[in-house]
Amino acid sequence: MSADALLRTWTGPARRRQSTGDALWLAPALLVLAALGWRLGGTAAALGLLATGLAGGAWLVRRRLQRLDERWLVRRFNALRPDLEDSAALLFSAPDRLNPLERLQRARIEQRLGAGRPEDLAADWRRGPLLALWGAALIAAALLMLWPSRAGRPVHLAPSAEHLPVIPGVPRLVAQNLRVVPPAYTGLPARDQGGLDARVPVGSRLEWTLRFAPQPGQPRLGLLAGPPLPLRRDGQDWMAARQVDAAFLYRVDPADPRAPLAPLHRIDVIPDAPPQVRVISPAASLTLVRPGQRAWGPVFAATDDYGVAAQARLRVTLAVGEGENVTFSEREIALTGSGPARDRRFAPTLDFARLGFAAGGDLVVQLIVRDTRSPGPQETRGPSLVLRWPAPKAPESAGLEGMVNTTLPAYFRSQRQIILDAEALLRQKRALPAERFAGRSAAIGDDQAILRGRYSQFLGGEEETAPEHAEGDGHDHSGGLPPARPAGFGAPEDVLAEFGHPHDDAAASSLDPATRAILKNAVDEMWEAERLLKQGQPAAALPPAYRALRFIKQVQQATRVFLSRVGQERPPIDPARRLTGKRDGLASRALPVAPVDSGDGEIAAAWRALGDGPGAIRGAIDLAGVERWLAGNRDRLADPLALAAALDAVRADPACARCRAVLRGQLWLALARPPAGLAPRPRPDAAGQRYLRLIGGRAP
Amino acid sequence: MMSALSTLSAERIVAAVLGLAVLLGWVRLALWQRGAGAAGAAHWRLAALAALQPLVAGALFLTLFPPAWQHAADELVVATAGTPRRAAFATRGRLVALPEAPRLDRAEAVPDLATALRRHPATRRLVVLGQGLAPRDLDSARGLPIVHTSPAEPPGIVALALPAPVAAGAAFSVAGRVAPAAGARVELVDPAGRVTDRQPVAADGTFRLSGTTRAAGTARFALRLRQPGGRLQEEADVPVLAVAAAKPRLLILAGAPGPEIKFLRRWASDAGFAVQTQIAAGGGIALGDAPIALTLSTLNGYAAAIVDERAWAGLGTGRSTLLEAVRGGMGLVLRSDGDEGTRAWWRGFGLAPAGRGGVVPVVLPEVAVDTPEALALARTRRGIGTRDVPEGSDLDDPVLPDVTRLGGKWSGVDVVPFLADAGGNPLAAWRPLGTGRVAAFAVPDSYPLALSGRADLFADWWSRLLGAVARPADGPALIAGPFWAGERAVLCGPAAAGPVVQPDGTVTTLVRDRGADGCAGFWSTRAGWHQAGTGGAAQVFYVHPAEAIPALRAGRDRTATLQLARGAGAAPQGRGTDSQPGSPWPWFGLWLAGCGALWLLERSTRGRGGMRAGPVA
Repeated sequence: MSADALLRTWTGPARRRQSTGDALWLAPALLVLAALGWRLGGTAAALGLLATGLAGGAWLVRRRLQRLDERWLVRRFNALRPDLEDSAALLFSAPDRLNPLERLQRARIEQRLGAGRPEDLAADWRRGPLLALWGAALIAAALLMLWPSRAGRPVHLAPSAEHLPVIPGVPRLVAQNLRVVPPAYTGLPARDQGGLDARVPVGSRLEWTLRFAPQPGQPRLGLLAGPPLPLRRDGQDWMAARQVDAAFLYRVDPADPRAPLAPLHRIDVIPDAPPQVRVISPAASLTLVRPGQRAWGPVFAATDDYGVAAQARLRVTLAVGEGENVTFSEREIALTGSGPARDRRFAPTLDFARLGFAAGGDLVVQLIVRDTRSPGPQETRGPSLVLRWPAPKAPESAGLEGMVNTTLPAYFRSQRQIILDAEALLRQKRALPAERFAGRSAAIGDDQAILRGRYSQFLGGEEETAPEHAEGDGHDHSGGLPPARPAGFGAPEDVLAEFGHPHDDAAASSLDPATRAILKNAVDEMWEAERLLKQGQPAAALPPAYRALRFIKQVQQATRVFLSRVGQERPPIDPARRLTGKRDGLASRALPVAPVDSGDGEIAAAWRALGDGPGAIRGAIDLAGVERWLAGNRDRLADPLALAAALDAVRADPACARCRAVLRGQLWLALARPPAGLAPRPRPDAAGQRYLRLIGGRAP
Repeated sequence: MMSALSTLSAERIVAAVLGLAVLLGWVRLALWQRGAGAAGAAHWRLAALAALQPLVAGALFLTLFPPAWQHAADELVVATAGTPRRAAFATRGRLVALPEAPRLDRAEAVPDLATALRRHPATRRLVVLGQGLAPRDLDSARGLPIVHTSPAEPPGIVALALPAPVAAGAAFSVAGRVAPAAGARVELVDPAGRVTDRQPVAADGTFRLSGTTRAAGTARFALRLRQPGGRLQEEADVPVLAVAAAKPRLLILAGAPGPEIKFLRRWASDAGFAVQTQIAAGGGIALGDAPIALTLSTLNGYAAAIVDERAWAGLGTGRSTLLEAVRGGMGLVLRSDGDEGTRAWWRGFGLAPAGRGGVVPVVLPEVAVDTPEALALARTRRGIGTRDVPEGSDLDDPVLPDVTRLGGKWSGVDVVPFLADAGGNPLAAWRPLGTGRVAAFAVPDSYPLALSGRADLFADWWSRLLGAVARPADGPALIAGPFWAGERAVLCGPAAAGPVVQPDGTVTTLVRDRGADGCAGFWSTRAGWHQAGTGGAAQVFYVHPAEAIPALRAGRDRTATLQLARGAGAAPQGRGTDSQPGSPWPWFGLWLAGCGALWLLERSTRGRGGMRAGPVA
């Protein structure tokens, strides 16, 4: 017998037993898998999962079968057959490579081999665990398939409560069910309710199941504003479904002319609120760095009605530097929150060294969170928290008259820009034609002139022209951003520079004499730089420009500007016009005034018509005007649907006193309060008038 | 006659039987005493037993035939609403019960007092039990001496001042008094069912609530009285009539342009006035509308004129024309703007506030918005927002502007101060002049109100100011009540002429009573707004449900009855008596007590002699 035949003969039963056993072990798992698939995704999913499971199982069985090879057989022989004397390996060795002793031994065991049966080598069944597994799998599969499903559970209809009169032969709603399926992201379960009024999360799907008796032709849901929703027949019942994005009123309409008008039902929506961000620590929005602090860990809490996304962003704004050298950098850090979905905590740790945060800087953080709404998650930005690292030295300000501005007006900084521009121009000199080069140099010179003009203001306006009030020079009274970034970010004292400017007659009065002298030097240097720039020599202009910058820095180190207190001042009298007797251009003129019409006349008229006083209309009332008004003023009302419903009720039954009272109450809520006019006093009767005339009255 | 005979015979028979029984008892007692010998009862015991026999017999007789009450023959006891049972029981005399009275045992039910007086023509004196006579019976009782001891005030709303007609959009107030006051709270509910004002009741039970109106027409607010625990004790309707005059013409004369004139003009044109403004800018230059001539015929078309001090100073002969127009019915409002010369003229007219002068701040009503509840209350007074002013946009942070007035007080004889600020200081005063009126407004600048979100208060001030003086005009007038369904309402004047339209549209024709100054009586059958008269003379009145505000109604009846009693003088002494069947119950009690005493005495061993047992019958 060849080795192959031997192997086949002796491993055959074991292979069959093992493959059967494996199949028996895998089958329950496949069964549970298929049941799970059926439960979650229906038959197709079950079949798909089953096929995948079968393929995987087959691969597994095959792989396990491969282990039943020659080595396995030898080990098995040696373990189970003492009569083979641990020499089973000889059976599979090539005879020509054996020594005589081995050959002899091989012959002996070949003879003994027949004493056993190949079936003995097969593994035992292990029935107990297998049966337990099958039992558990069957129970699990049964549970999975038979557990009552929410979505698929049968609809139980509640008896109708519309209290409509029963007219023989006229279809009438007898039972109903309203299923509310909130959007998946809310995590709310679907619910069934017997009533037809509901308050549902926005985006919910509503499924009506209605039963009529007798069966109507083509019933529908009549929406008060909008096209009707047709019902489709499903056995005994009629069904309709709709996605709800806004509140609406509807009624069940059997579409039979003989049927009485059914009452209105109302669907309200609960809007999805955007998430809320709260700061848990620190307590104040401005925190100062403690000595030795190396990191900062603000803690935020974000809450939402359905859930806050675990991923949030932290916007970190870093302001580093002082005076004119403040640089901003902004970055966003992704954060992961902890805690339950409706109340998440975000606790980032900001390492100063990694962020580059240093003394004299500000670190501003803002948490940006989103909720789980889909589509379109709502984003909320939390409050900004500022961490300030105070500069080592603070300017002193004691014993000074008037307000002290500890920072310079922000426009002191653009001398550096002029230098940078000039240097950039020099670098481009080769690429530019001479004419263009000169033009741009002159333009920089113009900038320098404007800047010099501004500094001259502080010296009492010693310039030949009046360059102030150029566009964008920081002296615009209105609109837009503050003229420039404040010198010290967020410096509380910098209000003036941020929102205004010193307004006294001579700006120079706000500088002390030493500063004034330095500033004068700076202006002189600016003159020089300006002259050279305008002559097209930016390279020559650079040294004076640098000198001007240095002087400005010296002024900046003084960091004190005096602002005189100003009171309310009246505009000066124009002596040119005063007491001249000239009245040119002066004449009587009409000042027209037009009354404002609130446009609520329709509501007021209906209010009177529905009452029981003068102007009341007891019969049918024309409410078209109110409807028109309602269509145009829906957003002015807190609850326009209630007014629409009340209108509908009165239109359906003009004689219903209760409906009229309800509508009148709703109209009161829709009435604007006009400015109080005149309630004239009652006219005295004839005797009273005669009396008053007789006593006359005396005027001084 | 037959019945009288039979009654007499029955009495006689019973008396005879009882007398015989007493005799038998005595005989038995005597026999037993003699038979007992030395062991007989003590003398006192015997005497007591003997004495009790006729007493019990007599009591039994009187129980069966109670003696008639003897009382003044000309006195009639009238039970009205809220008559206590005890008081009715204790009265002697003929008792009649009016329909409002509770069920009483021996009272004779009568539909009204006049019927009772017809049935008992000898009546010369009335004793009124309970809350008092209803208006229906007051006239019948007039002339008769009345004794009325009023019971305690019933709990609830005992006084209520319902609002007079107000301009559409204006604020109104409801005042009143409740009893008992401790811990009670009152609420004003608007026609939509929202609470629009909520106040605790003062220690003396008074309260004052305010609300705002919207469009012209009738509205029904409700006043709720809540007990200390918050339980609703009573709810009363508060009828409010909002009126809007049809384009009244208003003349504004200003001595100089200014913000006050600007906002006054804006308010007046928005509030439905046809405004004619003339602003002098000096040097013969006038701004505003096209100038008109100040003649009497022109001015007669105007409802009112507002003139400031500087304009008044520059009017010259125009002044007398204006005053002549006022005598013809026009209203004139003098506005202070600080011109001292004119102030002197005012003073002569009695319209300048006298006393401690200077300028004092006006106390403005605060709008509390610090709690969600207060904010909700404030919102209910606003009406819906407009495109320009969305709802509640000005309520977030209410600012009270600085508004000042001229200090001092008005003290003239025919000068009526009005328009009180939140501190109770009047801001204006008016005096009649012919058929018109002249008012002075002591607030130089009221426009800051319009600028700081209190345009409603600005409008309210000027509306009331002009409403007090402007030329009277036809319009729906309110007949002051209160009236109750099922009661007679007296309508006088033009209202008595026309038919009455009931809330359900039923029309009732009135019949004037020439004997009562041409007034007419109207018996309303349902609660709600009623309209009396037609066209321009139409008047409206509100009828409360029959069971509404019972304490107020009882108070009204009591006051009226007491006034009637005071006015009728002393009651004459009764002449002669009358009899009336008496009650058997006191006699029955006496009989029961006598029997009990007899039984006790018979059972008792006291006063028995020897060891022997009691008598054997």
